[in-house]
Amino acid sequence: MMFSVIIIYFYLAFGAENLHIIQQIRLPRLVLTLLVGFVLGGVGHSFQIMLNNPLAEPYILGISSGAAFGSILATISGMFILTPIFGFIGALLTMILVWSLSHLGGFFDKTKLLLSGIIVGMFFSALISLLIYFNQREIGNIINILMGNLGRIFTYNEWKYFIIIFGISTVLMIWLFLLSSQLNILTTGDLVAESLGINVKKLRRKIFIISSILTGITVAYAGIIGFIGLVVPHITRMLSGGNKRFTMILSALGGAVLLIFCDFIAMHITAVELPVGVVTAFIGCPFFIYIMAKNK
Amino acid sequence: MFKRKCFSKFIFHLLLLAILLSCSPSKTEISKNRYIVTSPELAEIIAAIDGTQNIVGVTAECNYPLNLEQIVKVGNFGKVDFEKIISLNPTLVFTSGLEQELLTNELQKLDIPTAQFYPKSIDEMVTSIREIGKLIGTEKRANFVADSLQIEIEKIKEKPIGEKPSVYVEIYNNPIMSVSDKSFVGEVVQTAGGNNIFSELPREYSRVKAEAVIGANPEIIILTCPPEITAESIKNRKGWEVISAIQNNRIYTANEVNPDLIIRATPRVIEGMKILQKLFNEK
Repeated sequence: MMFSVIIIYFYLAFGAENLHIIQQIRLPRLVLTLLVGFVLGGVGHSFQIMLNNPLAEPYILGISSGAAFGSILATISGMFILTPIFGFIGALLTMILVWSLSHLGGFFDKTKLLLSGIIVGMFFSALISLLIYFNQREIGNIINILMGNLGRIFTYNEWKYFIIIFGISTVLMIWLFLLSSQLNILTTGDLVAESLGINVKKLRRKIFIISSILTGITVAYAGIIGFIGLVVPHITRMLSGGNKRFTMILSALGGAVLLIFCDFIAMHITAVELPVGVVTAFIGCPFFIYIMAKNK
Repeated sequence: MFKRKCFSKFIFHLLLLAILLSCSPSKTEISKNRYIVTSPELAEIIAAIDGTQNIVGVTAECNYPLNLEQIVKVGNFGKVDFEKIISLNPTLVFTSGLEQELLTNELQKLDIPTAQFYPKSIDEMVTSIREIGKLIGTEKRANFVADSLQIEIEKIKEKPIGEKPSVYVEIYNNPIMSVSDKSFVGEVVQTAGGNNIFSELPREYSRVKAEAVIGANPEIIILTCPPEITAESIKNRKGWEVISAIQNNRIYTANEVNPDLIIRATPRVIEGMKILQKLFNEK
């Protein structure tokens, strides 16, 4: 707790020349970073339980590739201001595609959902590669989307919309948390959960849709930031032990704190700002190994 | 059986004949000098020193002077079609730096003669013009162009200018990128009497922080790329309203300063510097 307050203080104040810069540039960046961190940590946690797969992360079901594809398409066609909207539409279309693919053949299970997500994600990755190949001039922009960038420059109008979206995301996050007690029962197996009166399929659908919307929003605004969603849930589970009730909240908080720390490093470690997605892996991998070694 | 063998032999000979025919160079195609130019800068320079008639291939970006547009395209700056280049049978291919370092290597592997020029400063540009003149045999014209460029540059430098306005050049919008004094654009701005706020950067063209721009408080903002970024969108950026250039409405886009005039190292840069000097002197 103390650590997060200190890191937020440094994030806002380190190297800032005056109050104007803190209020107008650093604070919006902090809000965006918090949102992305919350979502990645929280959704990562839900996905790992819902898919019963320790390798699951918010990007595994292809949503990120679809959103990135939409964003890149908007950038390349010159509609720069519409990038978040295109990204979000990309995420929604991917979500519908993945969901309907996982129902092909008349039945649905979590393995099929996982496979559909991975396949759709690969397809969109190929489309992204194609766009990059033909639009090498826009490479700076594309790198921002593919490696993450929290230093988005908002216009006043964009900022207003973003505040609304931040509100919507918070509501969705709370909803996801309320579902997590049901979700925890899923870890005992689908059959047991059904016998306890949980509509497993409906629950999966709800979580999939909420998570996809949240992930789509983060990719649309900040690009793809890997690692947080995969590792933070594991770290929190290792640290918090058996109490499953609040691991999702801890995951979300942990995601936010780790992301703020990584973005702080990305901003200041070299003269030129680094893509935050690179830093998350650099910082996250050793940290993960350390936690794993300590908890053997 | 015999018939079939005979037939396949016939087809084989026919194919061989076709291949041989397509290989033999048609005699009319071989003329003295055949140049391919892969960089818009070099195409402009060669055109300025009367070498256009020998250019047989250009890349899609070579759009000035306008008569280059009728010449065969061999791809674009970052990706050329090697088969097309070979088929045009060039005596010399002009290449540039950056992505084209690799292209130069590949062409050398194919035994195609290349000449690489990547002028990074105004002086280097003038030297390159003289060297290219020697290479293509229009030395006289090239020296004339180079000499008059030097005279023009001196004139611009001598022109009295009051206080140097601080200038922020944005060459890319997401992430925002600017130029250092070591870059060509930076030197052009400096020569025209501007004071670049990012004179020192780790690279010639580099990503910069929004807060650094606000902190430096430039009096003039020049946007070179891409065209859909308007002055209006810069004014609406959160927190940027305190910048002097925005308060005084001194943001210049492609409408006021054609980016090609200040980014490309070509004789047209004189025109670009004159425009900039005029803008810098406005009060």
